[in-house]
Amino acid sequence: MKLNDYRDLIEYAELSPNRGKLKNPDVKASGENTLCGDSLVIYLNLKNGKIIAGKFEHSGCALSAASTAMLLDYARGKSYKKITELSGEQLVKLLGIKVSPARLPCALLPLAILKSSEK
Amino acid sequence: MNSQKIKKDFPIFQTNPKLVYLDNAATTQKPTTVISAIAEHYAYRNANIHRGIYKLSEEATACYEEARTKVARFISAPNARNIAFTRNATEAINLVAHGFLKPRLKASDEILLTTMEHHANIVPWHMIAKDKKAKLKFANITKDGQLDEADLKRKITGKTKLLAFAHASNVLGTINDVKKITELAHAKNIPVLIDGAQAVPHFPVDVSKIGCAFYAFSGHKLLAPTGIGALYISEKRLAETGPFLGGGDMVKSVSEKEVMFQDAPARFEAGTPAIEATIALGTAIDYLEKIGMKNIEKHERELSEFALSELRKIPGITIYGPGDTKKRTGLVSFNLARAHPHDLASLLDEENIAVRAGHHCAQPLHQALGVSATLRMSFYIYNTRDDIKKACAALKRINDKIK
Repeated sequence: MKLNDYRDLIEYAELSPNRGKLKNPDVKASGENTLCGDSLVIYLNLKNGKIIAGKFEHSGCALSAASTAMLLDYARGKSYKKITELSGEQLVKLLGIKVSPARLPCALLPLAILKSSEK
Repeated sequence: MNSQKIKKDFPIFQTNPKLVYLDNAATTQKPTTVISAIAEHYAYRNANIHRGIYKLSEEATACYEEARTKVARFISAPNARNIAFTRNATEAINLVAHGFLKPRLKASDEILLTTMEHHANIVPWHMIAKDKKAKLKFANITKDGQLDEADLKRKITGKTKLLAFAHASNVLGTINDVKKITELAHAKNIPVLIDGAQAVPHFPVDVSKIGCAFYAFSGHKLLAPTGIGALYISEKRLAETGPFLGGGDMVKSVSEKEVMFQDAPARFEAGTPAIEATIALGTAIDYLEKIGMKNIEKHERELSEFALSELRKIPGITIYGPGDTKKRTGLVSFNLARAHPHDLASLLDEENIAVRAGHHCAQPLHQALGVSATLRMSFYIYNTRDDIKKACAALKRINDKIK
């Protein structure tokens, strides 16, 4: 991860309007990346199976924060089922930076917890 | 001690000329002599040990047993029979858990550990405690990351069946007063296991002087290959320790009705071991003894002092462990206020600086420190002040840019 990429990620995550909580979420998914101790909660509101609002609470690294912020931006207006079916490669592509294998669990954390809550 | 010269003995620094390797507490790099010892074994004397009635097997057996003698001498064990070879420190601790403690453990008995333990010295005890409905207790650490000896003393009860603790912490760097703590336990007839994974590579260790029942360490943290470690068992506990894994080579005789086990240490070594790695462990010890463990200790202390003084210049840094370098081994764990350790490790990796980020397999300790992760730099014989300068300069640069 390059320093400039990192600064972009931090800025993206910190300024994200998706930070926070939803009062009456239809989906509340939470989980941890035990490898580095990141913890994440995602709240979603759905209408006819489509995601109409999404927020997140996060503590941990820049990669998992930015990845969550970005996934929620992308998810708005899309089918909840389709989002949970996204592949890891698709999420990394959204992030637009090179992610080393050791950091993949950080980048994929939001998707992992959405997938596990779906089950 | 000339680290620049020593570095030339390690091919990894020729194949990766820009590498600044500061993750030695995880594993060390290997010198040419150790790498060659593995190839030589296969090229000149490959045969199974302890059973072939032919010259090649006898030669392989002699080399394997010579390594045992070297390990015994290296840690001042009274005799080679006090050394059992294992895959690593983890397996050595599991051997004691299953071969020694489990058969003696009863419901509501206690196993005393400390908060600064590596998972290798927690999980095996958790597993047998659950089986036997026994309890684990943890002695606290003080604010500056030292073992709270008063708390440890308080937690020794009539039910304590074993005290197990680290000689040196893999996160705090703290060196525990092993002799004093062992005597404390012995006064109450409690056997002591010491996890020496972060001690044996870094300073002279004398298990006879310490007087503990068991002492475990890994070879790969002291220049040897992975897959080989050792367990020292005191003379007193040798007969009391039963086998852990069953199989060939550890039995005198087997019938359909019963099994007669070998004497120690053969009864602890079931199946064909990592013969070449064991012989290469002997070669690694030769290499370290040539440099001298006292010189290694001094070198690492100088590097730690330098690293601590450089790191303290970075605004917003929190450094864990004792401030006094005499009380710590060659590693420093820390956190920067504005960045997660995993992000920092990725950023340092861009500059070919290898450090470790995470909980370092010591989650209870990180819970006590109140953080989920730390960043760790750990040093060895080939590290120079220049390596530390590069790492600290990179950290400063990163810290300045993420304000």
